[in-house]
Amino acid sequence: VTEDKENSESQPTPAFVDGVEGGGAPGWGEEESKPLLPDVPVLGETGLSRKTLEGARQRNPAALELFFDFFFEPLYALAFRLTGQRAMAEDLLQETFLRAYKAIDRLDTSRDPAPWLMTIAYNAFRDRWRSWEGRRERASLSIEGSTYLHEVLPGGEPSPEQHYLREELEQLVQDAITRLPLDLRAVVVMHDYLGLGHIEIAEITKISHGAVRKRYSRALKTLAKELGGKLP
Amino acid sequence: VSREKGMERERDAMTAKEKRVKETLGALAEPKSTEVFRRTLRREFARGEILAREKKPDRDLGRTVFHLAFRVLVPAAAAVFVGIWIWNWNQAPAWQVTGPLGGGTLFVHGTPYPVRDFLELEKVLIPGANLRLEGESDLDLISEGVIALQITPNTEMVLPAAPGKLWNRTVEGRIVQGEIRVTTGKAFHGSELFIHTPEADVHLMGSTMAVIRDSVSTCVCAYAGCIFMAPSGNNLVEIEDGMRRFVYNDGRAPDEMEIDDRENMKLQMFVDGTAADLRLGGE
Repeated sequence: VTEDKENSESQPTPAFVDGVEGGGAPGWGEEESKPLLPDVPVLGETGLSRKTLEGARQRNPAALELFFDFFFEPLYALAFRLTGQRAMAEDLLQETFLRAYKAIDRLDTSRDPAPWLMTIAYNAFRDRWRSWEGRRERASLSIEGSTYLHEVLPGGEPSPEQHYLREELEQLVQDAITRLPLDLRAVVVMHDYLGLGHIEIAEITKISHGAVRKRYSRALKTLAKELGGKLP
Repeated sequence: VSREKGMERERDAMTAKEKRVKETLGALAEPKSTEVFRRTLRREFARGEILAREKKPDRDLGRTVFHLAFRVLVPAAAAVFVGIWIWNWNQAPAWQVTGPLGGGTLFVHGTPYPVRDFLELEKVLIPGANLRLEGESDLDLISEGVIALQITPNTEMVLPAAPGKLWNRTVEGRIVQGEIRVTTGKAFHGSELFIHTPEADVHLMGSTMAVIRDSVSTCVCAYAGCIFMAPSGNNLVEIEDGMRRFVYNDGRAPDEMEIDDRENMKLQMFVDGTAADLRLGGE
């Protein structure tokens, strides 16, 4: 477990620093830490300290804010790539944090909480997608098509033409991902987009390592068949 | 290190198209949520207000009816249907009237029915019915393929059920006075019929017999098969084919002798007359 001092200093939360609100243990703000928000959404190791996790477990608001900040971006990225639509991604994320809040008192602070959170997100995704609401939204997705285009705006200063080509490619790939069967989609997004290993994915999805490999292979073959000649 | 090696092997096994897809997926942009959504969710999560967003169970009437119908009612109806089908399958065919040749009256629970009115009789000939036959002709009943009864005039009895295929295989009847003849078919195999009289118990496990009850005794004529008899409550004794056994109610010991020719002939005629309906042809 790494420390989170820098981040807590860069995003000061008075109640947290004072260690007063929520009745959490004092002194969390004094820990040494790495930046809480990584540039790339890789969840292999958490940068949250054990004390912060303990505070989150006790539902201390300041600790929960740090917890939220650390996991929001990667979870949103996962939700967006799985659903292909902002509204659904937000719905999924809301459900994920709701479930996490309800279960956080059982959080094992000695372990990286990332797999636990990813499992919650994955289960929420499966539940939502399989529900009537999920099917209805999926149907509307095919009509709305490119709604997400305006939501994935890369940083930097690309030219208008580069920007357009980039958007077109993003849409092409995202459409292909969204057409994948639910289980294949989750595995390929976690592996190639989030950079998780097969073993971590197996832990999150509660299937065997071998099954993850098979699903990944099938997903990649399907995507290659669909996108093969269209990628630059 | 092993993980990196594993990933290298994985990449080696990929086609060029698959590698390109993999690279493209890895290079997809990081989607950004709206700041409003992020701020709101962060605040709600930190303060526990997110619990208010929990969705209540769907109370949509249409879905409730759908779920009730397909998850409860349909399986329940199917189970009831199967249950009824099995119950019906187990039942032996109902008693049918195949005789008499002459006239007479059958009293069922004291209500008189002309014996020639087969259809009306069959409606009331249910197991457990108290029967009293008056007239000059025998009344022939059959549960097709299972068992046949011949009730002689001036007999008073309780009608037994025909045994079931899987359960209810042991059935009972009672004779107060008079004579009945019984013969069994193929489907009776493995079943048991008990006939009780005021002084004796008769146990038939198959084939043909006559039970005659008068004011002082019960006589069982064993034409053929597996037939037992004893004074009420005593150990049953098997009666040999062609023999008849008497149990008395005046203190005399039971005794046994050959069936008289007249009864033997009647039993023979009864067996011959019912063989086709009991599916005994070829035996």
